[in-house]
Amino acid sequence: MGIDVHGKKYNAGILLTITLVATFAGSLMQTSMATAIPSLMRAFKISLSTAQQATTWFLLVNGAIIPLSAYLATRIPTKWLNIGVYGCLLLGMLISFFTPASSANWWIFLVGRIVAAVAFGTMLPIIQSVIMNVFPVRQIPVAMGISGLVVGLAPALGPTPSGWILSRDHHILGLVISDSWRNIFLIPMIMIAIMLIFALYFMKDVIPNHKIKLDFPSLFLSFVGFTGFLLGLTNVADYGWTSIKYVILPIIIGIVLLTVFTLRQLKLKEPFLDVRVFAVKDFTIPTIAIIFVMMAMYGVEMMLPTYLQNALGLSPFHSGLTLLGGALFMGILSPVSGFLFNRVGVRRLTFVGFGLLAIGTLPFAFLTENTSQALIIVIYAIRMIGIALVMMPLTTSAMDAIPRELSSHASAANNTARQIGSSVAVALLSSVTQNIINHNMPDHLLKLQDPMLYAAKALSASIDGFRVSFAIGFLFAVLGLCFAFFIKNTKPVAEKGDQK
Amino acid sequence: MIVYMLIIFTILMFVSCLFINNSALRWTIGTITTGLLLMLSVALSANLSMHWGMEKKTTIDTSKNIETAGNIKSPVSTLIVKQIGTKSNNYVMIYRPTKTSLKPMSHFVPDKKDIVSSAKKKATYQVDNVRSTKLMTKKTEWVFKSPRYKWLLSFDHNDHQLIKQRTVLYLPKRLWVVMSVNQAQKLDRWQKSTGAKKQKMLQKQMRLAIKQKVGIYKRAHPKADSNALMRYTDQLKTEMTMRALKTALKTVS
Repeated sequence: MGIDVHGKKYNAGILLTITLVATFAGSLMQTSMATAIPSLMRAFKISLSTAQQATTWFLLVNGAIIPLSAYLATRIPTKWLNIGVYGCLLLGMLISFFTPASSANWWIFLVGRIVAAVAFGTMLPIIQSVIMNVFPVRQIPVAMGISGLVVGLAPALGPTPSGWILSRDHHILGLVISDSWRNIFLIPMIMIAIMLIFALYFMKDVIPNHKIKLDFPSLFLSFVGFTGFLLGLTNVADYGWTSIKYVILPIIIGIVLLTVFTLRQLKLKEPFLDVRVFAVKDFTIPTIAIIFVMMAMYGVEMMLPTYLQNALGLSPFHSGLTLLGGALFMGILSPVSGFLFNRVGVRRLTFVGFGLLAIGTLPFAFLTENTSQALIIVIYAIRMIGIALVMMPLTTSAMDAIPRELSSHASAANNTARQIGSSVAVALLSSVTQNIINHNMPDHLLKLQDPMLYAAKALSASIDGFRVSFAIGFLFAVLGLCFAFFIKNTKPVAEKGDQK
Repeated sequence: MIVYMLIIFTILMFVSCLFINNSALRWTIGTITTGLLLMLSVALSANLSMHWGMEKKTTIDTSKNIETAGNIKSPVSTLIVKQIGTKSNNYVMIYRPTKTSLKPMSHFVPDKKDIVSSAKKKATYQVDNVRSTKLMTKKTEWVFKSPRYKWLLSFDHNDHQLIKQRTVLYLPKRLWVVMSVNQAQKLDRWQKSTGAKKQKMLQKQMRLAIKQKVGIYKRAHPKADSNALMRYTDQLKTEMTMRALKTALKTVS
């Protein structure tokens, strides 16, 4: 039993369970759209790159909101912050759930995703703060490990339950869950609604509050900057790289605003996002390596279900199942990577992890319309083993490079960087894929003249797009491998202390 | 085997790089396993992209015979076709697979569930001066160059990957008439509308014309035996039916 800021008793286990279940539900939402992309494309009559915005905007807003979460956690009592955040997540899901399916209403779906992303982006760092405040020091690593497993595994698992829902109507306890894309939101919504009720009764104010100032110009600059940058990348699909109005200009505006944002952070006494942590080389290099892991992971994970369904003709369920093996490997190996980190240090793990990631990703760049599902399961699993090996050790290595008093800033910077990196990867790869598909698509006249040849050429255009996208995923893995050479071989703090 | 080898070498690389304490041994085994795993990945990629270890093999099958889509008693056989698209030269063809088939059936219908494979298949017909019908299928596939490559690279039935399949149905000009589904429907309607009485009258006219021509033939060839006369009669029947059918087709089109 712990004591909250008002001196009232609470059960730390219940608090952790509530936050973890809620975060798991939110975390599922990061990637659950992957298997639903073809369904969304059909239902809303939209292109691949437009449908992928369901993920890109979620990840972008998610990343952009992370620095704000520290402010919110310090200003708002924990109980009401959690209730508000769960409510916001539920609201976002409800908006997407009830969006009428037509291309004109796609923006409503995205608003729902953005609202959910605002909530989830706030939840991620809160879970760490809650753990730090409710558990005794010796129990913190275990609690962090469990939370890491939940937060890390959920995005990998996300596509599988979605695929199961989309495969056919399901009859559970006399209820019919139809194969509609809407029902992807159902399970997380139920989980969040239950946790919202539990939070009303069991959540306590465990994080001490005090008044701090929020720098609104920084908030504006980061949001608009990231939005412009991502918008430009998303528009590549429809307008190509040379469009000044829709691609180059938004990207330049985004970069300029983000530069102003960075300069402002360096001047502020209490920065919105303390970018000074990036001056520490041993923090920056692992963080960049993490960005490459996230880009390689999301880039392939978000495109693969669409390839499996549109090119190989698999059902959403089977496309989800194809990804399940890799997700489970990642789940099993995440705690093992912690053990290995203690044993061999970050450098060797990074080499092995990125090596496996690159080796597993290379064949993806050459997939065909006949590639066996069994082969994809195996190479996808190899990729995920690589990702599991590097993710946690790189994060720990980056955080270790920063003094303890700056760890919250470092954590925010690290989390922001990885989420933004993921959203950029998904937007970039979707756009490039769509652009190549559009470019290689046969003339519509051929559809009348020779529909079979048209279908074959259209399929070939899609596969060309996916191949390039997976090749970029491979490039991210190779770049990560290059960065591994510059990573200092750190081992956990406890061990360093022991050595002393 | 390559799939199993990928799994095995991933485990070996994982164990050798992360669990061997002796530095020299770790470097040696780690480098070998990593190198082999990389080679497997490159080999797999080369197989997927350039069909490394495979070669093209073309087989020709000409065994099949076909029967008319129309009246089985008619001396002229009918093939009903429907072009897939307007300029594809790829047809769905309707005919009886054997003489005993009660109803004609559609052949070469693309499988919409397997567009990938269907798109590689094409069927067409050719009405020519051939003696009998012939269904020739030319199939080109990727097959493994040798048992060694097959052992290494085969997984999940990836041998015999179809590249393209072209089927040509050769029909004797003298005995077959080809019509579209639309023409066949119109012809059917026309025949029904002309009535049984008129049909009988046309057949009677044809019999009379044949009788006259056979008489002329007999006078010109006094030594012709009964077999020769029967062959000549059949030929005349076929020619006249063909002419009548083509005229009818022109009328309905």
